Amino acid sequence: MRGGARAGIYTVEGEAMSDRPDNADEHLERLLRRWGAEEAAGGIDAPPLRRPSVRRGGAVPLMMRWAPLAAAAVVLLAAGALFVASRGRVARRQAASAPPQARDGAASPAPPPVAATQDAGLARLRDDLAAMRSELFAAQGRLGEETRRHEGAVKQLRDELAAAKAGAAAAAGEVERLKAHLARSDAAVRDAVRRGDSAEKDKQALAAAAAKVEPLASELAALKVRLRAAAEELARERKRMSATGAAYAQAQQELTAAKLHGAEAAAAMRRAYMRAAAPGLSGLAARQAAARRARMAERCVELRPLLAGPEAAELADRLEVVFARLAMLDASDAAAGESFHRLLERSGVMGQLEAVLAAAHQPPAVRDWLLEARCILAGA
Amino acid sequence: MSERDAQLASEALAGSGEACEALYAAHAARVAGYFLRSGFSRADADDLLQDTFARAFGSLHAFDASRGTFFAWLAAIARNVARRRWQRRDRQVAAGLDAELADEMLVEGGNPSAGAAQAEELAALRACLAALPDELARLVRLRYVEALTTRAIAAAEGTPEATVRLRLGEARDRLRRCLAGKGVLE
Repeated sequence: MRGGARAGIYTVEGEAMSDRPDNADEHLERLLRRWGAEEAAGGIDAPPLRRPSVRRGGAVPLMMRWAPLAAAAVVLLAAGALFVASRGRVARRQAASAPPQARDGAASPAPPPVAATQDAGLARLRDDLAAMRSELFAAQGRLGEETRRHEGAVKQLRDELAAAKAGAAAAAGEVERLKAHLARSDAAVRDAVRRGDSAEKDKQALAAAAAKVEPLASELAALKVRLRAAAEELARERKRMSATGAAYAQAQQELTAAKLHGAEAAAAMRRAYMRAAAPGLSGLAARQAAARRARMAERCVELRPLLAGPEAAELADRLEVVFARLAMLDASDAAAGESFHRLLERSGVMGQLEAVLAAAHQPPAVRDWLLEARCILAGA
Repeated sequence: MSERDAQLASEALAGSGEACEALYAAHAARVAGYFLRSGFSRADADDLLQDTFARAFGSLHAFDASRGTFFAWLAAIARNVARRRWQRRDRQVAAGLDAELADEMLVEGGNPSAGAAQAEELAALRACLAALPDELARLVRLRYVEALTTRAIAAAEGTPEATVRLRLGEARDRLRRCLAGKGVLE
C-alpha cells in the first residue's frame, strides 16, 4: 500500500502531488515519508566528489587505462634523448679544450669543480633515467602480459560462450524431443489406461456371462443330443410316412378302382335284374312291375322277424312305405314320378339301405331282399 | 529540477567539471541516505556514493533524458551498486531499518509546478510536529527520519513494540487533526 501510494505520488513527476489522496491517513503517511526523507538527506554531510571523470564515448579500450603511464614513458624517453645529446656536447667540448698529451692518453689534470658537479648531476640523471626505463620496461611487460591475459581470457570466454550456446541449443533440442516423447508417452499411457479399463470391463462381463452360460452349456449339449435324436426320428418318421403315403395312395387307387368296379358290377346287376323282372319296360313303370313281381311289400312283412338290429328294422319300415307308395303311383303321370324321386331323396332310404348292406350281418334272405330293393329303387 | 539536471548532465558530458559538481551536490545526500538506510556503515556509504557517481559520470553518454529523469537514472545505478555490495552491509543494523523507507530516499520530489504546494504542506507538517510532545516527536523522527522499524524503536527505547505502535498512532492522530486544522488534510 505504501509502495503503491508512493508510486502514484512521486515516481511519475507530472502527477506528483496532483492526484487527490485516497484518505487523510495515506496523505499524512506520504507527507511524513517525504518529510523524513528530506530531513534525513539534510542531515547527511556527503563527502566531496572524487575524480569527476566523464567518459564521452562508449566502451573505453583497455589501453586507455595505461595512457598516463605511456605519457610518462614518452616524457622519460624525451628526457633520455636530451640527456644523451647533452652528454655528447659535453664530451665534444671537453675534447676540444683538452691539451694534446691528454688527448693522446697521458694523465689528465684534475677536472675543475664545475665539471665535477655537472658529472654528479648527470650521473643522478642517468640513474634516474635507468630506473625510469626499467620501470617503463616493467610496465610494458606487465601491460603486454595483461593484454595477453585479457586476450586469452576473452578468447576463452568466447569459446565458452560458443560452447554454452551450442550446449544450450542442444539442450533445447533435447528438451523439445523429450517433450514430444513425453507427450507421445502420455497419450500412449492414456490410451492404454482407457483400453485397460475397457478390457477389464469386457473381461468382467465375459466372466459373468461365462458363469451364466456354463450351466446352460451342459443343458445345451443335452438339448443338442435330444435334437439330434429327434431329427433322426423325424427323418425315420418321414421315411415311414413317405412309405405309408405311397401305400395309402396305392390303396386309394385300388379302392377307387374297386369302387368303380363294384359300381359297374352293381349297375350291370341292376340292369340284368330289371331286364329279367320287367322285360321291355323302363322308368317308373319298370320299377312298379319289378316290385310287384318280386312281392317286395309282402316279403317285407315276412322277413321282419329275421331282421338283425334296429337299423334294419327301421329300414324295413321305411321300405314298406316306399314300396306301398310305388305300387299306388300312376306310371303315366310325370308329376307322380317326380314326387316319388323326392320321397326317396328326403327319406334317405337309399343311404340307410347301403349302410345296412355294408354291415353284412343280416341273414341271406334279408340280404337278398335288400339287394333287390336297391336294384328296383335305383332303377335301370 | 529534472530539466536543470538534464542540462547539467549535458554539460558534464561536454566536459564541464562544474556541472558534475552541481549534480553531485544536488543528489549526493539522498543517495548517501539510501545507502545508510540500507544498513551500510558510514564509510561504506561514502565509498558506495563515490562509486555510484563515478559510474554515473563514466556512463553519462548512456543517459537519455527522454526516457526519465537524471535522478531516476542515478537511483537505478545506486540500487545496482548497493545490490553488488549487499552481503557486506551490517545485517543487524539493516534488520532494524525499514527497507521501504530506505527506498524512499531514491524517490523523486514533486515537479516544479507542484513544488510550492508541497513546500506548504511540508511547512505545515513541520509546524504540527513542533507542537507535538517531545516523546511523540522523537518517536516520529526515529520512525520517519532514522527509518527505524517499530521493533528497532522499541529495542532502542526499551518499551514494548505494541506501546511504540500505540504512541506512533497517537502521534499520527494529533498530526492529522493539526493538519486538518490548517486545511492540508480533510
